Amino acid sequence: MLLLSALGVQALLYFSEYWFFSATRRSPVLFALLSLAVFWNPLRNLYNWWVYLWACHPLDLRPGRPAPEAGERYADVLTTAMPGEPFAMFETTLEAISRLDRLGKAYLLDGGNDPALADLCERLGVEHVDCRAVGGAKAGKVNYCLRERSTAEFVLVIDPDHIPRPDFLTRTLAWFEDPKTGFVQVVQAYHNLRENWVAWGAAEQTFGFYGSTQMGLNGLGIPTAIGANCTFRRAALDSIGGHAEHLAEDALTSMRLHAEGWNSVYLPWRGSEGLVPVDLGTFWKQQLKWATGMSYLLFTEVPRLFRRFEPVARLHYAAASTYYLGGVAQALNLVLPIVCLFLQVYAVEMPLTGFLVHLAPYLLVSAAMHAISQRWYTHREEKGLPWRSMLLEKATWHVHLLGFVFGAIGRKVPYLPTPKEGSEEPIPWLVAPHWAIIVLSVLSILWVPIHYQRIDDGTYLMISFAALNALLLLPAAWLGIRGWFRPSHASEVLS
Amino acid sequence: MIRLFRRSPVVSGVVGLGVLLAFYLLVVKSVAKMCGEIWYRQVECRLVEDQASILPPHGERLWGMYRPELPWNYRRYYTIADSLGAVPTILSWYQSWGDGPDHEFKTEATERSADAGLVSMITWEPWLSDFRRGAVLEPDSCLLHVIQGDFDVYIRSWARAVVRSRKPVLVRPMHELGNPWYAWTSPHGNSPKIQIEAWRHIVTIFREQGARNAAFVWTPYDALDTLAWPGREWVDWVGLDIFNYGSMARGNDWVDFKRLLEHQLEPVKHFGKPVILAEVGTTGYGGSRTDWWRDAILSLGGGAFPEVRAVVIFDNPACVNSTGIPVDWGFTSADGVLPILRPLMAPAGFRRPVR
Repeated sequence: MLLLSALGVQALLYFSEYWFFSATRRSPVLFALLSLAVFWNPLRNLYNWWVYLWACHPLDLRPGRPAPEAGERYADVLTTAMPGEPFAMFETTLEAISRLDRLGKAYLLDGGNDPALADLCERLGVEHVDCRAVGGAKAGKVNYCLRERSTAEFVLVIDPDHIPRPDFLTRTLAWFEDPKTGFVQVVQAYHNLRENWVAWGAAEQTFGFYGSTQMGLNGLGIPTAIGANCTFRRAALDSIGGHAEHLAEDALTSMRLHAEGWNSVYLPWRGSEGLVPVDLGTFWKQQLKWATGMSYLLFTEVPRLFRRFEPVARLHYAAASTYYLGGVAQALNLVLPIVCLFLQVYAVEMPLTGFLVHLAPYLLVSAAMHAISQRWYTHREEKGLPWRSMLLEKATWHVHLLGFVFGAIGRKVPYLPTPKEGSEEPIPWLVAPHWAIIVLSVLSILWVPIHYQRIDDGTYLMISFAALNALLLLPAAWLGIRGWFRPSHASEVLS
Repeated sequence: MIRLFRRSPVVSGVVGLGVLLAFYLLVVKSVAKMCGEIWYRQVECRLVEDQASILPPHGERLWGMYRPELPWNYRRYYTIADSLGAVPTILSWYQSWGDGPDHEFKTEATERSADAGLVSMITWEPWLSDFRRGAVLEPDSCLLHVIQGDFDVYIRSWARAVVRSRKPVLVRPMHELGNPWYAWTSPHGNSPKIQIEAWRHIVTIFREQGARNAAFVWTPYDALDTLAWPGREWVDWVGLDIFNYGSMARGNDWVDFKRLLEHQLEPVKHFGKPVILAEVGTTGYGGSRTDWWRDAILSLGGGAFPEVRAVVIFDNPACVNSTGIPVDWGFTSADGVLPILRPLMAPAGFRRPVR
């Protein structure tokens, strides 16, 4: 892997030299913008590779010592409910929670005070907490419960769609042996990913994060907490004034804990299985929440905590909070070819073949790197070419862009739990930008033979960019309006 | 040391990047250069088609033209060739030396013209003032800088681009060696000796780079320029620029094509090289353009002037002469010239298109 990443850097330098120094630059402004769009992903990859280099299992960090044991540790389990969430889901989850080994007490923090849920809790021995008056979304309820009800030394905060395995706590509590350990995070796995390609794509986006990135962060000593199923030491939460109440509450909580000097552990183990969004609308709502939250952190919390971070954490949190800046890069990537083709201006004037020949080594190395990094994936079905997540990532450009801007200007986005059921309703307004880009890209390509006196190298490059963009956006754009063409929907409209 | 790196991942990352950058600059670049050179010599140079293939079979002449929109737009070029009933072959355009895209060898245009079965003739003008570094602003003896090798990098880049375009091209550097209008000429202190040296310098670089597909066209301005003849082995074609200014300047007369050609051909005949009339044009001052052109093509008929193997018409209605006066060198400005010339083209040795 070290060798491969060294090769990757060489390949990237080879491409950069061609891009920046082959005298093919034209308009300086467009060139700078296009460079940002082209180099955004390679630079992120460079960072990822560096993280992968440190990947290791927590057991490898204690050579010569046996695996830790849970000892006399017990934990309380906190899960939340909001009105409208399916009852069946709570039945399954709460049942699984009540069967957990080493369970102290289980709490259902109910934002709707649903009598059916209260009955269910009573049947399963789970404490039902009326949280109608508690603000601050999920984290607010968690803090309320920690303040008013739970006195346990350890708490597991788990999402209601996540069904924990019985030995969940036994495994995670063992790692609190070190008094400096603030939280233990496990893999977030999904049991509904086979439902359609959106679900699979959304899950694929997390495989890399849980598989290789978290393992790398393990080696660096800063695996991060994820809201869905993280076990905390109460003292750690208390030291930062409770679970952070924020759109990106999990990220902010880990930042604060790391800044406070707590360690964390990531266990590459599927301790629970939850639900992943199965339709674009839900997926984009979730992404908007995260993008806005992370971008807001970038401008507010990261600078504040920066000096208190270890150098490694500084780098990691700077990289993590700028992740959604990718929306800007992606937007440039989509818009620039159209602008260049219509206005007949050039950012670069390099031949398509030259571009591909110089980019090819980097693409090969990053594909190889991706393949190798899959050895840390926790399940066989996670392996393979993540084409669905690539399509989905491309299709989420507008949400990431919007989230980044919202975060930057400090605009509030309501914290809503991610819906747990899919919808097949058309979402024309959400895919309108995609259709606009597709139509404009195709028109700009058609514009060339009509309007241009000659078609040169730079034009061919832009044509191929525009064509690729249109092609990659098409699946999501189609998915967004597919509902219109379904017989069920048509008959509804007719009746 | 290793422990230090392990203990501080950020420092090791930064140091690692530095080492990799240095490795790239010192090792990878040299290796890539070496591989590129091997590829260039062993593959690209071998794919080149020799320039000798430009020469038409005995008794035939190539037809070509310069128009301002060439080499980007062929429409007018083809219409004219079609009306004349001649096979279009040579596509002529002009480029000056310098930095930047306007001065690079136009690979794309050359390849496109080669794909269409045409041969590009590039009149390559060594104005040396258009370089960001090392520009020569004074024309006096400016070719000395070429001889000294100041522009070798530029010349080499052209030679390599010519090789990569594979198909034969006509390269016409330093044309009209005695024309005071141009910086590289004898009136500007570039003596015949300097001109010969510069010419050989350029040709040598092209040969070193394996540009067997470059045919060099040496173009004198008047009889005195024969002093600057570089030698048989340095020239592939002799170029002649034939212009009838008519009575445009006081004291000048209308001169027909045949007289002009005889006058200019005589001093270069004995060099034994194929002759290309690289620019042919007439004004309308003091005579009829149409008649001039008819007589011109007629005079090439019947096997006359066997040395002349190619004719390139200079068709630019919007030229300016050295005193800034606009001159119409438009071929198509001559009324009804196309149908009149059509039956004369084949007897003058220009190949007819096969229908």
